[in-house]
Amino acid sequence: MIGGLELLLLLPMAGATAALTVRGRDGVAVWCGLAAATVTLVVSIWPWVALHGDGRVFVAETDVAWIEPLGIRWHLGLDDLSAPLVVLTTLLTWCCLVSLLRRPPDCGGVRQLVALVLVIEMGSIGTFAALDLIVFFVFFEVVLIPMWFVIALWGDPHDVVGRRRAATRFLVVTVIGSALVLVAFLVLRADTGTFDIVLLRERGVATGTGTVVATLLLMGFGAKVPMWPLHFWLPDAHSKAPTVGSVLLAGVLLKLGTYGLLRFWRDVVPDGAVAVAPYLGALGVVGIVYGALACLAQRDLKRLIAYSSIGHMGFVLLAISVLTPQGALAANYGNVAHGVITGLLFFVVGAVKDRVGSSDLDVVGEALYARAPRLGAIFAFAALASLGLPGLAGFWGEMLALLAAFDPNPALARSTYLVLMVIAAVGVALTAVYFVVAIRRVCQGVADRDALPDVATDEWVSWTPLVLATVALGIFPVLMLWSAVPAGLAGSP
Amino acid sequence: MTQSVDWWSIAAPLCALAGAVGALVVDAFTPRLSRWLPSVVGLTGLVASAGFVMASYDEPRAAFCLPTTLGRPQDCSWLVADPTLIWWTVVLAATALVLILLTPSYARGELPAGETTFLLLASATGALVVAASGDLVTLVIGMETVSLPAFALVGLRRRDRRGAEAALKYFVASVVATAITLLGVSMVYGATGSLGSGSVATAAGLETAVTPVIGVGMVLTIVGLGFKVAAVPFHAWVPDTYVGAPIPVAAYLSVVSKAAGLVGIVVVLTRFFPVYADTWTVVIGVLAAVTMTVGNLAALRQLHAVRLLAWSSVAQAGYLLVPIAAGASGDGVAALQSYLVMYAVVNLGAFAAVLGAATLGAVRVDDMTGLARTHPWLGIGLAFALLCLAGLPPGVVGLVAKVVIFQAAVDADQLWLAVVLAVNVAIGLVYYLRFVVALFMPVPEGAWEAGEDEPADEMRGIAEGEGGTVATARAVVVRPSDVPWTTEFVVGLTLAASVVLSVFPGPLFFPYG
Amino acid sequence: MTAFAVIVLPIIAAISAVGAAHRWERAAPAFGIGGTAAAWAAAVAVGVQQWGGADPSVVGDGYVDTGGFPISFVLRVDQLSASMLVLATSVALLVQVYSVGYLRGDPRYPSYVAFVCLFTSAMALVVTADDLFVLLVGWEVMGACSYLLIGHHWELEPARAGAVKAFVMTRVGDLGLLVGIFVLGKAAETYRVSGVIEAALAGEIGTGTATTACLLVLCGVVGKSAQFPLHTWLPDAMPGPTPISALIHAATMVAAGVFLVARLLPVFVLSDVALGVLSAVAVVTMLGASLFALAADDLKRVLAWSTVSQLALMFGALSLGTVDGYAAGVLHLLSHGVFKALLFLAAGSVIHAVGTQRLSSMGGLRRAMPWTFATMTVGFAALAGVPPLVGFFSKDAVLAAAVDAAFHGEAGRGWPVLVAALLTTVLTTAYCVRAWLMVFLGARAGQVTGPDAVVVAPVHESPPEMVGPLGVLAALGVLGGVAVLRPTYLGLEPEHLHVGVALTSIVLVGLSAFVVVAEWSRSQRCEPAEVLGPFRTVLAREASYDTLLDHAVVRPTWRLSRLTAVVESDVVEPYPRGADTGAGWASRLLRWFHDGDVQRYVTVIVLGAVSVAVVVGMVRP
Repeated sequence: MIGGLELLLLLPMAGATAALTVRGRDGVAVWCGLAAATVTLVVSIWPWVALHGDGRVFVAETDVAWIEPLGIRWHLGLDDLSAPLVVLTTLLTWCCLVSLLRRPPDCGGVRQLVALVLVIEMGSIGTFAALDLIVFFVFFEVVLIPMWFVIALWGDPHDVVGRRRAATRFLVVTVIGSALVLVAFLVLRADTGTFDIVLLRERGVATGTGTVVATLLLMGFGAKVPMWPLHFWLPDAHSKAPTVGSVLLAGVLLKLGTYGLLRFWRDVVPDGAVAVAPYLGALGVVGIVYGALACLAQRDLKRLIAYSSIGHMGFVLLAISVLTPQGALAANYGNVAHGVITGLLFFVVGAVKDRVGSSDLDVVGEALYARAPRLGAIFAFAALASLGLPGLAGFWGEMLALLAAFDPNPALARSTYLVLMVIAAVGVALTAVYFVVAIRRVCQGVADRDALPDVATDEWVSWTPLVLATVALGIFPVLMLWSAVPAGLAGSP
Repeated sequence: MTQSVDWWSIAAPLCALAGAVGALVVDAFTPRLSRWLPSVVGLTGLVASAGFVMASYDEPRAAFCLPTTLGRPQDCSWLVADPTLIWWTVVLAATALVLILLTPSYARGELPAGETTFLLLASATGALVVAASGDLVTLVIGMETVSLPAFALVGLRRRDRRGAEAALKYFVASVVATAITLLGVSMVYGATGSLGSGSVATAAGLETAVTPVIGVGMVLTIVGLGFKVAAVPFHAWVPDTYVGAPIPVAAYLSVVSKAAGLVGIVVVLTRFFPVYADTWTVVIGVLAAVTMTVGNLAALRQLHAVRLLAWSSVAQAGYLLVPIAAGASGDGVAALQSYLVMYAVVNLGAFAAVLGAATLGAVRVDDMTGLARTHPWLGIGLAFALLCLAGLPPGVVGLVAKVVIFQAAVDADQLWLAVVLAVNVAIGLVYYLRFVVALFMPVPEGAWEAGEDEPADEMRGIAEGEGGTVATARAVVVRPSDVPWTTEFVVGLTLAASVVLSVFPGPLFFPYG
Repeated sequence: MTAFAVIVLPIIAAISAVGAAHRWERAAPAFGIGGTAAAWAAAVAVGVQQWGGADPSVVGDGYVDTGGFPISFVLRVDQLSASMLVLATSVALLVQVYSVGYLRGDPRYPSYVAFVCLFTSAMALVVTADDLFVLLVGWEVMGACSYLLIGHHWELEPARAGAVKAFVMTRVGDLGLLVGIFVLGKAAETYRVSGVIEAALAGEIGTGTATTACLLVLCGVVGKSAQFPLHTWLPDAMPGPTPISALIHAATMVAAGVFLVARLLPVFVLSDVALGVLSAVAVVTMLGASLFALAADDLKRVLAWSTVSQLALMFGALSLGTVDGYAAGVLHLLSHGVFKALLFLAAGSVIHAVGTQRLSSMGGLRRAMPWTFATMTVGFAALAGVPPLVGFFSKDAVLAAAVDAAFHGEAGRGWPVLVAALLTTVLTTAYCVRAWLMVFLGARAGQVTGPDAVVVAPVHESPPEMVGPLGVLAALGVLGGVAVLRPTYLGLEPEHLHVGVALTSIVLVGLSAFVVVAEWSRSQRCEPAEVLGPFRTVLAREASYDTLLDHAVVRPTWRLSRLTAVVESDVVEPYPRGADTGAGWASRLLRWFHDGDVQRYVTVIVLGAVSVAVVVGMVRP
């Protein structure tokens, strides 16, 4: 049977096929992809709306046999935890395709790029929607090869070797991580005899096994998030990737990791999670401070944003590690907020890079306010949003994370988390520092170089949704928090 | 002493053998039809054999049994159960595809039709025998029936020094391995006074002074089989032999011969030495880990397509050993067989595509740059096969097959092996992907002319930079004739199979029953 | 609902100003004035309603579940917040009008207008929000707006540096406030301001919790109101356009800190520690700041330091923890709003005319700019506390409250505050008179040369749209005393003049003024501060506090970040790289090994077999 979710999976595939096969100029192909992405975006909103205030139900659920002999079922469904992320995915994909419409890559092959972007979208949606461990794993892997191609073939044109290495590094680290996740899943299966998430929740897992599983999941998803110190692949990947690659990598792929932690680590093996939660929280906080400090020393805008992503993911990890509904809420909010804001940041920085040919601060030069006022304004806006300015999306994610750490799960040592919260707060301050310093370095100053072309119409079209989302999520946090504690997150140990 | 023979249980091997002999005969009597008739006869034999296999599921059979005297357990030299039939199915199907791949080279007069077909089917018959063997002698005979024709096949190509060299190496190494195996067998016989599975198993069960001898005998017996499987450190012959042999023969070695070795190991360990499980699980586990690691690392820097596939087949052998290391329990064997089916399909596809490319004069990875653009069938087929071997989507079938391998390790509580497996999967990606990317890259100027002239081949051979056999499959590179339809047929077939299995992987796991 | 309008109208104005920017540049001021005027009208409406003694009006009932206590989107307007609303919107309106003249022809006018409007509504949100988190939103949006406005002239280095400094320093404080809100919320089991206050009054908040919460909140307050030890951002924010300084110093940004303490005073009262810390901060700040003001050579810097010390005066009053103290603090906040706005706008008019902010290059402007002279004189007099101006009465209230506490109540806090307040009175008068003399009297200094010297000669009076607001504020400064004496609109007892205190302060003001004038004339009518001798340079360097911060905080941070970069490149990076090369070498090794030498192959097979056999033979007994 074809449920709404199968539709969400088939639409991007259809778009990809169309983009590859349709005759005529490349523009036509991009339009096909964009059409598919638009429909997907529209369709992807209804589950979220349908969930409003529901219990821990799954909408658009499908459950049919897939690999009978192994007891693997084609089980898909969305709940409050996954539905927003699906919308985030479809939204970012839409923006990416719009940006490809007028600005195809110089090295050509826009059809293939569009197709790959759509495949990544499909894989991510599948990952968020999967309710069977193996199906989750398969979709988790689906996104890898396309992203590898996007980075390795359409990446930084000045550094072929570097982009190839960055892509391969991303792939190898992620695959090792996902293999560990697979091992964890199989241990779960061996313990409970099922691959089905819903059943797993009901049956629960023995504590001993739980600890093993939790540790494996921590390492596996941690490599994806990325959790310090497994982050080393991220800056390279981001600085070498093309704009759409960076946007999807930061906006969607990193979320696969945090989503996995929320869905399995926190929800399926709570006992084991309790055992390792403090380490997760500590590593997250280290990531916050470390990322901020690294940002202060960065000379390259894309690397800077990459490191800032490490910091933001640190907040999400901290929120996950407190093992309370509040924490899950904060984590989910942080996920979406980071996706929107960092997506916007990468779009803007990508635009700068396209204009001056590099994202190196010295090459970019000063006084963007004067040389391209609107571009500078958007950059400043996104930076302020990213440093967690109240009234914009970033604030609630970080604030709720700190609030959650202030009041962790009773099973955890509160004193530890108070310390973590304080360090994280220091991280917030540092974040503010490096972003205003970046604004001062890039946007302000004396315009000693020639002006740049300002934001063009197509860029407005592809960025505006993100700007609006940033403001809307900031002013009406209820958009994310509407169901009294999203039920999918309610399962607290 | 005469005994009645259960002909039904041995019908399948007999058909295969009949096909072999028939091919030889028709080749001798109708030389004019020799370019296709022997293959047809051989295929008929295989199909008939497969028919018997299909017909005899669900009823275990035994033949050539010793009468049970003075309380000794009954020993049968011939045991056929459903798992056996699965092995047989794999062997027969793979052999048939190889035969199809070989056929065009008869027309070109590179290989003698009759002999080749005969040798191929004879060897395959050996593999069938191994799967059904109930005592060590039958096993050894089966192994040798697999090997001896294989030497000939490797060196059969006319006017080709390299083929002969490859055959020689294969032969020497194999002889040594077989000798070691025979030593092991004799030790077992000396210690237990029997070669039949039942009595050896019981004898091994009792703790006596000779117990260590039995253990040593067991592992030495495994060596010869490990040689067939190409498990490190008994693998060294693989790259040179594969590169020297005709590509279809290399494909045969990498699938059927490997399968024979695997089934041999399973038979020996599960039928003869179940009581030593705690020993051999460790041994095989270590072998598996070393094998996959060495194979992957060595493959990292290979430029020659066949050589790369050879090393990849070594690495895959490592993966294939994991379920055995997990104890080869019911599900373990099922996992092994499922993975083997996947491996057989995609590996044959890969070799077929490489064969096709070789007919166009491309033998190195970078020769094949843009293959997917110039020859979509070959290119896409090869790419998909490689992705399946790597175990990444879109090659979902490879992914789920890896899942069951992991599952076997996890269920046996061998997490360390699972982790080694994880790392190796990641290493494997690197070279498989490099190959895949080359296939999709834009075609460099004049790439497809360069491959045709002999000097270029020479240059390439030197450029390979390795002493010893640097075969460039140049013998297959005749004038840029078009790729034979048989090759494209095999590529298409395997591609179709793997794509369908990627969407509905259920059938792949029929061994789970 | 009207309160809601006060918040929304400026935002609409801001959006439309920016939106219309590329179409009609000229429209921006209209939008700004229009929007702010509408907000002002609404505020006045609210004020009239509340001053009439109506119950606090509550707007909205939206809330968001955070998994803990909900965050409620509710506005609650009582008399205090109504008064603050009126003050803020009035000053904002005057600033908008004033800016038309001050920033004529500025290309960035639209964004300027937008930020000022946003600033206004953020302040309105702070004073009306009934939820601590919503309050925090306004609080920090204000910080961001001030950051953007201080950096208005972003091509000037001081502006950039000042903006960054202001933002970072205030944000550091805000983190304390954030955690403080957590503590308060957990203690009172709600984030509603009213709820917290009720809980405090009902004694549901323990002393320990109250201390923690108040100290954390103080971090935010100290940062926002530029009190010691986070005081240096305010004077450095002076490169911003002068109207903005007026807005920040008089009615919005820095006032928010005082407002918050006043709001949460019931909680502070629960903890002597917190009040003690508050009074200590206040004492240190009011003295130090007024001393710095005495030596500064930059007109706006003088005013900035005076703001800092005046805010400290309010905190001192609040730290007494008495009703009088509360009244005095709030009243001084309001009156200070009036005369400080007046002073800054007047200073702007002077700077606009002279083209520099250096006192040493001004002088003798009273004839050239009679209106500015007159109004600014009123401002200075009010600041110094000359009767019958508004400042006199509010400061009198503060002193009276301090005296009351010192003799009949919390002597421990009362005495220091009283003494410091009296000293501050003296110093305030001193720097007021000094600045007044150096700007308006004496001879006009010759045109200075240098980076900040824009040649604008001859000096002329500013345009009416700038002088107008000065007039209005001056009038308020003169008549405001009544409002200070009759604070019924705040629900407070009428103030009666405390004769003793009043006389004392008048005498002190007179004396100090006399001394300064004497010194001025002795120094050939140029710089009375010379009398301070070597001490003056110390004060001019503002006690090298920034250098201290630089060495203690800023540089270590940078070092740490560079260290991180090194770690990243030399410690983390080698691992993946090493794995890469390692695999490569292993691969090469294997290739070298498989060189086609069959003997070697056979050897390996045999060796492998033997070793396995041996191992198994050993292991298995």
